Amino acid sequence: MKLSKNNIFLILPHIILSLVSFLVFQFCYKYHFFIQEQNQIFVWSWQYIAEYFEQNSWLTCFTGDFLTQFFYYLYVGPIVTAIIIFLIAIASYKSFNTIFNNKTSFIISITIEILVFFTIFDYKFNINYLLSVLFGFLSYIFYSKIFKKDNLIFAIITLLFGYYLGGFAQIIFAILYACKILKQKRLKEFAIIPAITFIIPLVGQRFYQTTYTRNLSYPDFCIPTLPDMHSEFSYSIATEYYFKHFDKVEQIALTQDTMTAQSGIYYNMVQAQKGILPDKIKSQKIPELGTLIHIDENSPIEAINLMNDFYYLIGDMAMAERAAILAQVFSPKNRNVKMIKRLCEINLVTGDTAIALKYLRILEKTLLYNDWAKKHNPYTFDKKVEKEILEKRNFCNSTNAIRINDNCREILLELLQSNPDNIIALDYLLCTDLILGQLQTFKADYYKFCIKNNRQRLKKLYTEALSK
Amino acid sequence: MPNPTNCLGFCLHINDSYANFHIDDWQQLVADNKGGVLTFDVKAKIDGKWHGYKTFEMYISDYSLDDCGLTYRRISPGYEVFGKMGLYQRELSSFKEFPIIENTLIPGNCVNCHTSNACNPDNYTFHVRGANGATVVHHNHKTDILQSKSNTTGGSMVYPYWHPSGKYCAYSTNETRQSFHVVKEELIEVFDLKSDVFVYCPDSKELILDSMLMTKDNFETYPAFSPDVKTLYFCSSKAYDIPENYKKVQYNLCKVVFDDGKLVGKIHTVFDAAKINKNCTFAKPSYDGKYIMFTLSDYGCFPIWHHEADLWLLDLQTNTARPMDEINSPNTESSHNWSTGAHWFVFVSRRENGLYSQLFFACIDDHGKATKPFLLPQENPLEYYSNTTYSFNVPDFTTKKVDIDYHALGKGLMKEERVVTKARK
Repeated sequence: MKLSKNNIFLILPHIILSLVSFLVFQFCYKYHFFIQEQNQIFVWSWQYIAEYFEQNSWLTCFTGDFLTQFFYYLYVGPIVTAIIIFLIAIASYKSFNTIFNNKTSFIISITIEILVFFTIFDYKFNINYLLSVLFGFLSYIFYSKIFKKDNLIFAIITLLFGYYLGGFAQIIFAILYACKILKQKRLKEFAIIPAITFIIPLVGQRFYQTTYTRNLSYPDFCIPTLPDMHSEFSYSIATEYYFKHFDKVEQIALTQDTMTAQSGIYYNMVQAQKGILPDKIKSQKIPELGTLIHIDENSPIEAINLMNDFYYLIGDMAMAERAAILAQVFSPKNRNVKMIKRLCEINLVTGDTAIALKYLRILEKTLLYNDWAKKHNPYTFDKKVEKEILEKRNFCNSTNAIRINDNCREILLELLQSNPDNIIALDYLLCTDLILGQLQTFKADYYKFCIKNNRQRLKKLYTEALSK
Repeated sequence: MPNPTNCLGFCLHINDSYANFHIDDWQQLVADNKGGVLTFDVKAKIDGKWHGYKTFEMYISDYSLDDCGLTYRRISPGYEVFGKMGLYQRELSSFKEFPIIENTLIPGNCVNCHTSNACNPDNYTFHVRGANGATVVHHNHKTDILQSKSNTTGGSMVYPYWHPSGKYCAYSTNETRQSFHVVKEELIEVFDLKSDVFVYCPDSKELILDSMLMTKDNFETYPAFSPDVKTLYFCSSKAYDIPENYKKVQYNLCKVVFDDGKLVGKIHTVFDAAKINKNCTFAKPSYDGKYIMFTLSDYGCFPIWHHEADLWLLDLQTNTARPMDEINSPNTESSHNWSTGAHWFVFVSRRENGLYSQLFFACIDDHGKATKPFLLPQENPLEYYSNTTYSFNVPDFTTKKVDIDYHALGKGLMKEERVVTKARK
């Protein structure tokens, strides 16, 4: 496309829309991108890369996962997304322009750009999907440029490549091809390519053991949707907690009139670490502590991640590990960087060096966590990291028992029996008693862990409750 | 010990970041040195200088491994959920792996315990857990998808073992629960609230139930037929209230005469593990009828999470059992299976890191002494095993490629129709 005056007028709206998408994503939806980075891991190893060939759409998935790892950095996710949206707009214009006139092509491409923009708000969104859309248009442009005259055989070959390299990209190619055939009124040929499009995934099932629908729509096709600010809020607080930006966690949680369960739990986790949990829960209408939350395979990933952070904080490494492994199952290829890091920390705390080293070896092969892995290697520990791990080790559960549920009262009691100095566990236990209105249980717990152990915990909330 | 002077053939040299010999050269070298020793000399260039490592040796077994492949399950060592997992088969003469069935065909379900008949996949069975639960039985070139839970047994068909004739398949039915150890040492505890053993007849779709193997006072599980078809082995423990008494559950190895679909006579204890305050599970007779290999642990029906679990060998000629110290490690060993020639066996061990289970091979000589085990080879084993976040379990040898139309099977499993079994008492 030469940059004539007309072309500039055609491109300018696309540039503006892409710029708008960047601004929207960067300033209103940035955590959405960081969470994607956290939910995968890109390992620089041939064995890992070879796994991409086990599924169709390997080129767009590989490229997408490679790019996603950089979403760790601020701005990268929104910038990459805005660029791809722009490229989709241009590619769709070029594609439709081989069939329709400039004006129609422009209207279609703007519509596509807007629709694609809204698909990014879908909770299933990942960059692989966007790349497949782009690949669909590019494969059609490639086909049109190479084969000036329509050739059914080459169209089928392009379809196959589209499926193999870009998954549902072949559907986009088929739609474009069908439009062209329809425009040329070659009605006899019209149905052939769309029919083959639906047959290819059926054949693909012979190679890729997935259901037909998944084979057809891989990588996950997203639908245009409105922004989900509730999820974005939930991601924001989890992300700031991950980075230990505790002031920001408090700030975000306090922006709400009534905290959600998740924000309340994160807020209180920060208070517990400051040792002021009993001082703060008094001012909360319905204090959320996390001690009454149960997770299982049906729980949403946000709840599992939250409980992983909670168990790690109070010192129950077995339950933290359970939640971390549960959370990994929600990730592609059963592993994500957030939980691999957490599993590594858990095993360093419990002194299971062999398994911690396994996770460290994976992290060493990443571009972004290589340094983290070096600092956490038990043979070359960073002094600060070592101190944190050793401090945490003191609060581990050493009770020899089995647990058939995640009853937090039992967990807290065991933690306190293992180490009565675990003030975080003590505050959670006593505060939970009071939230549940179990005054007698509170008094018994306070007597057992504070008075009898001669470890007075002088807090206004406790003193008032004891005097009742 | 093989004689080191037996070395024949040629020298293989490779200069790379890891040793990846050409597979044909490697196989030739191994074939030329059957019963001999290979010597490995490793040198590494570190910071521009060459350093030599201590030379080590590898012994080539006299006994050939005739089975062409290995089947196993690969699953995240998770707890309640099943991410992507499946049953796989691996060519033993190469690094090629093929899925038998993956749960991506039946999303949200778990496939477990693929069991063929003495390594011959003409008869196989496996269980599917989850919303589309079923027991798949392949027999006489036909695949039946049985209902997951039978009203007559009250439970699922869990741990199977084929009768060598292929006419029967013994199953245990277990009402299983899972819990977590508070201290990470053992991680998970799986226990049965109740369990029984019965025999399934694929031709008539009948469950052969016998009160001897379905007692209220005992937990019966892990059935296995003797290669001479006359004996049904199983593990039996006194029943306790679970989970309170989970540590009291200790299984003994028992047997009963099996005569063409009927249990005859009384139950005999073959190995009284409880007497030595131990627990015997996963009893697997060798196909030459000489041994039974089993897992010995402290307690419980599911020793694969127990660090103390070790492999033991019962010599059926002398009726003596011994720990297989030559292959055991301080960590878990269990879930073993024999090759058809009965000189090789495969087992699961957590010796590498305590969490992810891996497959190891060892060879057993005519005197019952096993060789040092080795890990299932991979093209680049360090990279493969470092990167994987999957555990390998339920391994078995296979005499030929398992041929499943997984597309049709997946479709069948997603439907509601199931073959209903009937009871024969």
